[in-house]
This record gives sequence, C-alpha cells and structure tokens, in this order.
Amino acid sequence: MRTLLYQRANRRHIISKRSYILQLSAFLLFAPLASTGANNIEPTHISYEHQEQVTLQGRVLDADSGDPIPAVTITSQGRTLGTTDASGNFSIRVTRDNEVTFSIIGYTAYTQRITIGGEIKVHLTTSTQEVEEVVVTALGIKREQKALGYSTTTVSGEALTEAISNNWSDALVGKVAGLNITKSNGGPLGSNEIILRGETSLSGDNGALIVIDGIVMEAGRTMTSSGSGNYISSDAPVDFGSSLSDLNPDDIESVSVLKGPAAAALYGYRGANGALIITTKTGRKGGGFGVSINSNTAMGTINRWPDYQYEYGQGNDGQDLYYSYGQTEDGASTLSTSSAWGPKFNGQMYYQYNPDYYRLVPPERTLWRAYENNRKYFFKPEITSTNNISLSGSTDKTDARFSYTNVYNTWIIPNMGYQRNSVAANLSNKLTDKLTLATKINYNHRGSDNLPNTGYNNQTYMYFIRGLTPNMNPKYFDDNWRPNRYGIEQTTPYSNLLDNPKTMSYDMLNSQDKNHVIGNFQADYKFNDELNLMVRAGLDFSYDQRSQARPFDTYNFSQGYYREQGVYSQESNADFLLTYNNVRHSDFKFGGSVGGALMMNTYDREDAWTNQLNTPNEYSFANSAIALLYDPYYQQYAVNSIYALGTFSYKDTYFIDATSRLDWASTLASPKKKTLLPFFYPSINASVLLSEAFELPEEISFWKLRLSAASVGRAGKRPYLNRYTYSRQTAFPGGAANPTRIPDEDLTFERKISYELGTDFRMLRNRVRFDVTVYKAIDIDQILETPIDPSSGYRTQIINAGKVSSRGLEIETEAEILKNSDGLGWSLYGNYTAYDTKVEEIPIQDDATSLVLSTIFGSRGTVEARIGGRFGDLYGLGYLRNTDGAIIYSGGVPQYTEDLIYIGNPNPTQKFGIGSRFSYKNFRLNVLFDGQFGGKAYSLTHAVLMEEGKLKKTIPGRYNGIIGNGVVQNADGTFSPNTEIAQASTYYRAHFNRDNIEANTFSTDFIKLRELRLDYTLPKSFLSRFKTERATIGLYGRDLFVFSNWPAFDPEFGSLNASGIEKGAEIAQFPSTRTFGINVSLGF
Amino acid sequence: MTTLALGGLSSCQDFVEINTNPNESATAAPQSLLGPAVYKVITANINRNLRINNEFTQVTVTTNDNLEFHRYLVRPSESEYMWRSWYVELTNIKDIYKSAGEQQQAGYQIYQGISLVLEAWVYSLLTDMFGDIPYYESNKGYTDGNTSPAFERQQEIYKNLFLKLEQANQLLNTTNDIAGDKAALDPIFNTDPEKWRKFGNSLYLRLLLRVAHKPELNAITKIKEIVDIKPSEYPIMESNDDSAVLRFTNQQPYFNPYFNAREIDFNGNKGYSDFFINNLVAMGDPRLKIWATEATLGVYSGMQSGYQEGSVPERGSTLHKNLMTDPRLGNIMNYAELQFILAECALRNYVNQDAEVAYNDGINASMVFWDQTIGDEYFDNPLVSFSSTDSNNDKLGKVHLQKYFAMLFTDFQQWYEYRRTGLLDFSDYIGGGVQNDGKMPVRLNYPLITQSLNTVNYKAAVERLGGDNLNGLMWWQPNLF
Repeated sequence: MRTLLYQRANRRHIISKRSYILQLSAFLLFAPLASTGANNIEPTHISYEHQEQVTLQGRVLDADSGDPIPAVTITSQGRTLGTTDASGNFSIRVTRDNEVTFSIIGYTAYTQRITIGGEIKVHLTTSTQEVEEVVVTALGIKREQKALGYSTTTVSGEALTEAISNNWSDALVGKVAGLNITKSNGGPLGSNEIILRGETSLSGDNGALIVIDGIVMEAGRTMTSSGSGNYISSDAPVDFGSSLSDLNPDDIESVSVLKGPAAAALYGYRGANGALIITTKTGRKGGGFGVSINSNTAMGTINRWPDYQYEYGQGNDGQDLYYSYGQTEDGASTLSTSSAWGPKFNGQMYYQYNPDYYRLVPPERTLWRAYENNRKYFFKPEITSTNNISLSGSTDKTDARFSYTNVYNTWIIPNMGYQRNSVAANLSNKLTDKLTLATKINYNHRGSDNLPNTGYNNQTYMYFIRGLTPNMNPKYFDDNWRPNRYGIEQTTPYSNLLDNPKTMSYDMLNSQDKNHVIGNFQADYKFNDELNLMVRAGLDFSYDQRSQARPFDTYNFSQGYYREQGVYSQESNADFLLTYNNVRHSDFKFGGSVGGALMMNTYDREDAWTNQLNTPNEYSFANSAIALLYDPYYQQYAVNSIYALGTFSYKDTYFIDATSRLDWASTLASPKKKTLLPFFYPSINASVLLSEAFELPEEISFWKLRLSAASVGRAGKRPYLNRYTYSRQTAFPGGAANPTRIPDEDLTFERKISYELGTDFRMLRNRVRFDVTVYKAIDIDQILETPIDPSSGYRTQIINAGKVSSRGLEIETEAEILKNSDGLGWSLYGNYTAYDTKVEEIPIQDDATSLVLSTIFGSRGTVEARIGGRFGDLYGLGYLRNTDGAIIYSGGVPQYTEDLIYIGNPNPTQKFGIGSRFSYKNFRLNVLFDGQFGGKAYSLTHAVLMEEGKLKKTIPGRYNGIIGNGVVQNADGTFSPNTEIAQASTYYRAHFNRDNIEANTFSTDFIKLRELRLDYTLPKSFLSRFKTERATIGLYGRDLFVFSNWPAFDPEFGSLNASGIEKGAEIAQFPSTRTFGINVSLGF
Repeated sequence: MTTLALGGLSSCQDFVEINTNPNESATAAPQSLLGPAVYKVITANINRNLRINNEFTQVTVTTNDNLEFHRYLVRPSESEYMWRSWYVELTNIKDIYKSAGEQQQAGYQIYQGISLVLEAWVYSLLTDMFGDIPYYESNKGYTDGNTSPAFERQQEIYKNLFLKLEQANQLLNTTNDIAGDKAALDPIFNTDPEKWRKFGNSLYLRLLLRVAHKPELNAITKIKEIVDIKPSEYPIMESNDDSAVLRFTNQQPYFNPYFNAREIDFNGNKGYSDFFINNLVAMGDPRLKIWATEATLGVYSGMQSGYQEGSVPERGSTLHKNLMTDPRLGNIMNYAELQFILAECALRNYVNQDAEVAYNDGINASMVFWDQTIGDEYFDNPLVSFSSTDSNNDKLGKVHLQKYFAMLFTDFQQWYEYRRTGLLDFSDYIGGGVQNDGKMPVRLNYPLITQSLNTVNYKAAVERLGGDNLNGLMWWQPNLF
C-alpha cells in the first residue's frame, strides 16, 4: 500500500531547488512502486546552443498511467506555441529563458523555464478538481469556483441515484452542510421542503428556490388540497405530492446548492432562502451515440416501532379484573374502550369477540391472549421499482438526449401507492457559429388510485393502529363489510366508532391523475468573443385531477361523499441576459451582465363535492343526493425584475463580484391605494487565492478566502394580503362573511441581510480538502400571518415586522486516503453544520412578551417568538413544579401549570454527515451516516399510547398502584414528599395526558445509517463480447439503522397540516421504512 | 433594459389588477351576512351543547372515560372553540348593522335591529360562560387596529346589552317591509321585523331575569315595565310561531349539522342520564320517545353521571337517531322558555301575573313545539302540577324542571340557569367519581390563546375574578355550590 501524498505535492510556479531535490528523491524512492511522479522533466539530451530561440521537442505523458496525452496546449508569455499530437509528441521553438506552460483540462498545468533546447518528457498529473471547479451559479451562469465569494456545494447526479428514494431530494440529506429537509410524513408521495441554513422566516416560507435548467419551479408546490387540519378535523389532509418529487434523478446531471442570499442574490425575491440549481443531462459530448439502461427495485420494511406492551389487554381505568364482550355473567361490557388497562394475559378465559356472533355476546369463553404482531398485520413491505432508459448522442452541431422513466410504487399500507411515467428530452443545435438554440422538455404523468389520509382523525390509518389493543385479533378486520352489505355497513369487531382499516385502504379513495410539463427554450447569440446574449422562455405547468371518495357508513359521511378537484398550476418566466467579458488583459479581467425577467404565477382550482350520495359505491356527481357544492379558487402573482452583475479579477487571484436587482412584485400592489413600489437590493462578494498571492508551504495546494455581503428583498408568494375583502360562503345563496384575517394595507417588502466569510483549503495535492463557512443573516420586516385573540373579531393578522438573526458554521471536508492505479481507492468525506437563531425584535402590543407564530396540535401548544429566544420555540402546558423543580402532586397525580411554559425548540442546532467511498478493482462500497442534535418535538403518538396503556413504560405499578416521585403542597404552603398511591392507569394518564406538552416532548436527536451501497462493475473484456460498454450491479440500502430515543417512529418528521408542513409536533405519524434495493445499470 | 424598466413602471395598474382578489368581494350586503353568521353560531352552539352542556347538566353521560365534563373536569383547551366561534361571528353580526347603515337600502333599520338582537344574544352567551370579556373594545381588530382588547366588567356588559335591546325594540318598531327574495335570506323569521322585535324583548326578559337577583341594574323594575306596565311597547312572543328557531331544512345550506353523521358518531359514546330519563318517565312525558331510544323493548333507562373512573355504567337509552335530522335542534329561544320565565317572575313577585297559567302554558307550548299532545293526566301528575302544599321553592323547582326540558339542545341555557338557581337535584344523582370537590363548574377558563395573545388584559381580568378557574364567581353568579 502506497501513501504517496507527499510525492504528489505540486507547486505551479516556483519550484525551489530544495523542493526539486525532495521531489526527485521522493520519486526515486517510490519509483519501483509506481510510475507516477510529480510533474517532472527528465533531460535526456542537452545541447548548449546559445541562441535567442531554441527548439524543444518531446512527449507529454500521463503521470499515473504513462500514456501519451494528445492536444496539450503549450504556451509561453500568453502565446500559443503548439499542441501535442495523438501520440503526445510536440516540437516547438521557444525563446531562451522564457517559461513554457503545458496545460490541458483535467491535468494540473506545468510550467518550466527553458534555458536550453533539446528533448524533454513532461509528466502531467490528473487534477480532478479542475473539472469540477466550474459551477453553475444563479441564472445558470457558469463560473469558476475559485472566483466565487460565497459558499456553494455541488452534488453530482450520481450521488443522487446511489440509494434511490421515492423523493430524489432525500438523497441530498447528509451530503451538504447547511441543508435540511422537512418531510411532510404524508405517505408515498411525501412532500419535502428543502431548507438551507435553517428556518428564519416567521411566515413559514423557508423553502429554497428550485430552479431546473433556468426554469424556476414554483408552480405546484402546494401539496395539500382539502384544507383540513391534522388533529380531529372534519376531514384529513392528504399529501398529493409536490412537483419536486416528479423529477427523475436519472436525468439530473448535477445539483448546485446556493446556500445563502449572496449566492442567490440574482434570483432575488424568491432566492432569499437559497436556491437549488438543477442541471439536467444533455447529449453526450464528443460524438457518438449511447444507450443507458438503469433499473432499480427496492423493498422497504418498517424500521422502528414504539415499544408496545403485550402483557395486558383491553380495558379502561379500573377494568383490570375481567374482560367481557357485552354484558355477561362476568360483568358489564368492557368492549368499547381503546385502552389497554385491562387484565393481564394469564391463560384465563373470557367472553370475547367471535365473528360468528357479530357484535353479540358469544356463547363461549375463549383464551385471553395477546396477538403480538397485530399492528404489523396491517402493513406490508413497500416495493418501488424505477426503470429508466436514455438515448444520447451528438454530432458537430447537435447534441440530443432522450430519456424515459417508469416508477411503480406500492406502499406499506395495502392498496396505496402510485406510478409515474416521465419523458425528458434535451436538444441543442448550433445553427451558425454565432447562434445556438436549445430546448429542454420534461413531461411527467403521475397517477395514484389511493393516497393515505394523514394526521389523527377517524379516517386515518394511524388513528386506527393507535386504537388497537394487544388482545385484538387483526384477522377479524379482514372482511370489512358485513355479508351482502358491501359499501353499506362496515364490519367493526371492537369499537364501532373506529372505521375499519381495510375500508380506509380499499374503499376510501384519494386518487390522483397529474400531468406536468416543464420546459424551456433558449437562444444564445454570440456577437463576438466578448459579448453574448441569451434569451430564454420557460414554462412549468401541471394539471392535477384529484378525487376523494368515501363510502356509506364511514365517520362523518354516513351517506357517502365524493369530491373532484382540478388544480391547474402554471409559472411562466421569460428572461434575457446580455453578458460582456473582457479578457484582453492577462492580469486584469472584467465583465458584466445585465438582464431582466418577467414572471407570472397562476393557480386555478376547480373544486366540487357532494356530502351525500343516492346509491352506495357509485362515485359520480350524477349520483349526488343533494345539490353539489362548488368552490373554485383562482390566484395569480407576478414579478418583473431587472438586474446586473459585475465581475472583476486581478491576476486570477483577486476576485470581486457585485450584483444588484430591482423587483416589482404584484403582491405589494395595493388595490386600495392603487400603488406599486419597486424595491432594490445589492450584493457584493470577493475572494482571494492566498495560495497564489503568497508563497506558502508546498503542502498547501490551494487556499482561498472569501467574503460576501448581500441584501435581498422579498414580497412573499401570497397575493391578496393587503385588502379587506369578504369571502364567498359556499352553499349560502348570496352569502358572504367577513374575513377572519386582518389585511395589512401598508404591506411592504421584507429584507434579508447576510454576511458570509469562508475559506477553501486544500492540502497534499488537493487530496485533503476543507471548506469552512461562517455566516450571519438578519431577517427584517417579515410579512407574516400571526394568530391574534379572536376577541379582536379575527383569527389572524397580516403584519410586516420583526427581526430574526441567524448565524451558522458549515464545514465540508474530504480526504482521499488511498488512491492508486490498481483501482484501490478510499476516501472519506464529511460535513458539519451548527446554527442558531435569535429573535431580536418582534411586533408586540402593550407589554406582551411574545408573538405567537402558529399553534400546534389544536392550540394546545404554541410556536412563539420571544425576544432573545430561538426561532420556533415551543410553548405549552407542563408540570407544575415547586422552586426546587420537584413536580407537585395532588391526589396522587401530577398537577399542570396554568400558563404555557417553554418546552423546547424543534429545530436541531447541529447536523452532520460522514461518508466513505471505497473502491477496489471492480468493486465499490459507499457508506453514509448522518445525524442531528439539539431539537425537541412533541409526540402525539406517545401521548395517546401512554394514555391508553399501550407502551411497556405503562407496566410498572399495575394492580398495586404507583407513588409518583414529587411533592405535595401542605396547608402552610410548604412541600413534603408525595406519599399518595395512585392507580397505574390514573397515574400514567395524568402524567402523559396529551395536553401535557412537556411530558410528551422528546429529543429528536438521531444518527442514521442513511445510505449503503455495494457495486460491482463487470470487466470490460467480458462486456465487449456483448457490445456493452458498461454494466454495473449494485445493492443498496437506505435508512438501515436509526439510533434515537424518539418514542414513535421517525425522529425526522413534519406533520402535514392545512397550510403546509408543520414542525414541532408529530400527529400520528406513519411508520418509517428501511429500504433495500438492487440496481442494474447498463451502457451501450 | 430600458424597455423592461418602463414595462416594470407602467405595469403598476396591471399589477394592482393582478393583486385584486377575484375570489372575494370588497363589500357585503347585510342580508348576505345574516344567514351564514346565524347558522355558524347555531351549529357551534349545538356542537358544544352536546359535548359540554349536556354532560354538566346530566342530559347525557359519556362512555368515553377521557371526557370528564360529567365529573366536572374541563381541559383548558376546551374553551377556545366557543370563544372563537362567537367572537368571529360577532364581527359579521356587527357588520350587518354597519353595512345596513352605509348602504341605506329600503328597510335598513330592520337589519340594524336584527343585528342588535343577535349581538345581545351572542354577547350574553359569551359573558355568561366566562364572566368579564372583551366588549367595548372587541371586534375592532380591523377598524381600530385593536388586536388585544381590554376586558369589560360583566355588570357593565349587561347594562349595555339592555341598551342594545332597547334600541332594537325601537328600530324594529316599523311597518317597513323587505322584499320577498331578500327577506328569504333570513333563515329564522324571514326578515319579519315584528317577530324579531318579539324575540328581542323575550331575550331581554331572559337576560333581565338572569341578573334580577343583583340590585345594581334595577332589572326587576324593567321586567315589571315590560310585562305589566307597557306590554304594548314591548311585544313579546305570543305563540310557538314566534319562537326563535333556525329550523334546519336539510337542504343546502341549512342542514342539521349531524345530517351526515353515522348514528354511532352521534350517540355511540353517550347515553341519557338517570336524571333525564327518570324524570321524563316519572312524568309520563311523551317527548321521551322523540328524544330517546329504548334501552330494551319498551323500557327507557339512564346512566349514572359522574361515575368512577374505570367503571363505565352500561348504557341505556341514548339520543334518538331522528334528532340528527330534526329541524328543532336549531333552537335559540322558544315560546315555552318565555312562559317559564314569566312563571318564575310571577312566583318571585317580580310581576303581577298568574304563575300557574304561564307554567301550564309553557308546558303546552313545549309539547306543541315537539309535536306532542298531552292529556289532563300529565298535569295531574304531582311532579308536574302545582299543588297547594308546594312551597314557592317547590314550584320554582317544577318550573325549572320543565324549563330544562323545554331548553333541551339550546346552547348552554340549561347550565346557565342551573348555575343561577341551583334548583334541580343534579347533586342527588351524581356518582362518586365526581371531581372539583363535587362543585358544578360555574364558568369556563379563558382560552389559552387569549392567555398567550392578550396577556396584559387577560391578567387584569383574572385578577378581578381572583383566578382563572372553573369555580371563579362572575358578577351575577351566586355562590350556590
């Protein structure tokens, strides 16, 4: 095993004699092991010609393989002297004592002062960084990474398909410092919101901007439809997925993550939360035609369960002496409860449910036993198969790529899942030397027969699962309709208040049929080498037809229900960019761009439903028993912008960029005052290559320092917030009602100011790399909708206020530990993020101390901003404690506070990812762990399972009672230890009552084995027989192990609610899965 | 670039257009606001009537051990629903007055009068539940930018409610008429000013009687004036036709809110209480068969309220499924209640009327209301009839028992009246699981949302009350329990 780190150290310009000797000796030392070496000239023949010009001949070779390198450019003093031929040979005339540089993309350039002519051999070492260092920045402008004064991370398409997930964006987790994903936990199409550098927007609009090939993807981001709350509301929210998840990861070339406002300043307005710039694959360069086939099949099984008890059966408080299905000689009926405070399983016999005597007292007693897998019975493995074929090719003038993908998913709940067909086409044609036209089109069709209801409600699956007690035989739910009563009368063996889960999966249907097209057309005109004009138009639109059907005899819908919605979303963008680049001076380069954009976003929803059907099992409006309700909704907003970018560099070492942008946003146009004010904001960033500017030890191969300051204005994405209007009252003829939201008639833009300092440091021939960024951002005058006391006559108010600051540290690091030509390679990479927020100013009235941003879980908890607090702080009822912190008991049970107290903050303060890539010959093994620390959240699943005695934690104290650890208040106000014994059920119920937010709040810290993949690439010699270029078989896993104390399923969650993803409380979350998959990838 | 800049500047008008909400309107006519507002208040009322009022007042008993109203325990989160429903609709109700005045359509005074009657009704429901509440400063979040209104004293609120009802009585004293199609948008009285006027004055009597034991507002004098001295200036309900009921049509939009419920969702986790069933059975009351299911063939039975945790009694009779479509669940105030008010006023010598006549009239009215006929034997029942040996208090008890049944499914009136009089024998029926020291809660705590969003004013109100709990005595609340 060789560790040739030192040998590979490179200095570009100045090679001291000492280091030359060192390099040479190192070369000699390791020469027997490899033919590699530093850039190295071996003088083979010396001729002492004392002329002005000398002739230099020789060969340029790859330092690793020794293969000749063709097309190497040889320059001196800015003039090209020649290039190497196909065999790597060259012959040039050069002025004596001048420096000659050998350079080609993909290799580190080598420069040598020529004092004598003759023959030389030049060994160039590969430089992978050189290739990667061009990054896509805002507006799709490609820049050299070294010129950027802000932090970006690029994730390759390959990294997204390693362990493919239902939503491709899951694959970003753990790979980018500062990136977090909030999940809706909403089922197979679970929407993700990508958050960069933490949440700071009080309005909840924290998602990063998504841009695909220059087209902003804002349409179709709304994911829920019914507008229902997630806790015992009239209907349950359904996650119909966002357009983001429609993207096919196989089509993605790379994702450029622009983390801060500085990076995204040119996107302005909607780029304040950072941006993800997705570049899709284009036809392969260099001529030829290729076909690639990629097939994935993955199976997901539930990876964690709450710690259920199977020792005690059904029974309410105090019903632990017997069980009785109906009134029997054993006693009164105990069948209706969902609690498990009942008798212990001791081999005794009770009257229990018998399917032959439906809802009647059975004739005989049966064994009182637990069904230990009764919850698992209602789930099955999730299967997802993703198959992709792509054709790609190019000629001199045209390149093209076409890809087709099919995804088929069946989810963990029976009869749920979706399928998707996507077609992507990319075409680019160089019509003349000056004019290039390109177009990219992506079409998706997504269909689902049934998507789950989410949240805690009688129609949600997890509400039912929560209601199961250990003695319930899951098979009794199989025939979910009574004989000959299909769609009319459900089978409810135990509590008849609970809908049968099979009805939920097979008969309560939420279907979707969505067509989505995103595409653009782009023309580039190159006036000359310095001036270029780009004109582009993009369109993202989708039509999503949804239906919701509920059979008769279901909760809230005794006569059935049927709803159809058609959601049309569209965003059109047209922009131009005129770019000038002056590279006439080798030291001082400058350039600039000016551009403008017109954007229009439209959302148009048709929505009709009936609350009663005539005949069962017939879902159409023609079958409605009553007049249909119709409630269409239309909204639109537009932004016009102009912007400019200036770039300056000196000696390719000092760089300065400045941007400015002016926006007119329709959301700020006042219908009352007939005004519209534009807003302006600038940004500036600078970077210095310390490794160029100063002479540094040779171990340091690259060192850059960067600085930026940016301001971004924004006007929100919600129109109609600045005028008082009366809403239509569906169903009431001529009905109207006052709004429940107070508008802000003086609505103005909000501003985010951010400062960022970072460094990119590489050592040992770029094999070790650190990138460290610190930033501070301030959000001012945010547009937000805040709850107010309903006695004001309104529920919420729109305001323009507040000041929230955030700061963070992001570290990304990578080390190539092993690398040799036999294909043995091992590299480690990692990232770490720490961030914190502080509420500095809030708009408060009188001397109130807090601004309530939202309420969670039916107003039991509040998310409040308090001065000095963190963003997202959670308040709720907790234990009443004395000054020593002991819980105060009364009657053997703990007492709660009267006021809402601080509970915790759901936002983690630290995140990390650490991964390893290992390769040997044809094998490759990748592993990624990630984790988060510092967040806390409320678990309703835990609260309910504790109230109902279903977790192992509720076993101690059964029958004998339990004495709570705490104090009681004496008549004189002093405290003495609690000695009163409480019945176990009473005790646990009082402690973990769902209103006690404190007791049901847990740390969301976790470490996950996020991705694991083992690949085998078939040898070329074998493949050539089948005319195959490449064949790889991979086995992969996602979320294989989770280390966490979270009491429910997944510590990484959000909860879908009426208006979006709610954080801080888990409201009956779905189980999380561990996925195993196999991938076959072929290239022809 | 210049073109675009100009485009941007000149687009102001377009952008104003784009930002004008096409889904909503900048104005609303009074008749448009009336129906939805009243319906929403009534559906919220019936919702919590079944959940809270009926458990407190032993109409029903839940079999859900987690709901503990029948044990006199209330979770702090229970308060917000009514607080929110009432205040949000008060914005609409008050806006009826305002928009009627602004738009000056023919007969606009009628809408102003209706607005005042409804305002008095909803505010009285609020203050009787919580005590001091935001009143003068409430519902001004938009007009005055006041999002944290100060709380007003209950005594002052009552005084002002009486003023509103006086004004309504004047405004509704009109011969103006509202055109038919517009009038039909009022689901209660078809915009008949005379009926609204009678309802307003009957409501006036309900509220006057509620505070009659407090000398501060001279309520007794006013009651006497309305009933005895100036009855022609204060017309009150004269028959069931005058009853204020939003009769659910079970056509869009006026559905009984339980229209789509499954029977088990409506009554599956509750049964009628012993108190409720035993009294109706003992009186041989024909309304029983409309209200309750038979526990077993031909037999009605109740459940114990306030049972011990874990010993849920066997359920007997429960809410009849026909109630899910019954139009009468939209009751606001009926003629029978008014007669019982008059009977009580007579028994307490506030007015010079025959208590027994009013009492019997009330019973008959309620029977008619529920489409039942009774014979003389009903009145022969000693539980019903005033007997010569009855003390005044016995008679008041009988009045209140009948009033209790007449006010079934009417917001929180049964609870409010019991809190005022303590005349029914709930405590005799309650089981050993009762909490709160066996004391009937006399108010609900202020909602958590008010505590956190209107803290300063909340604290001032709580200080006056001496604590925000179920046992705090509001101004009119006598210390009975």
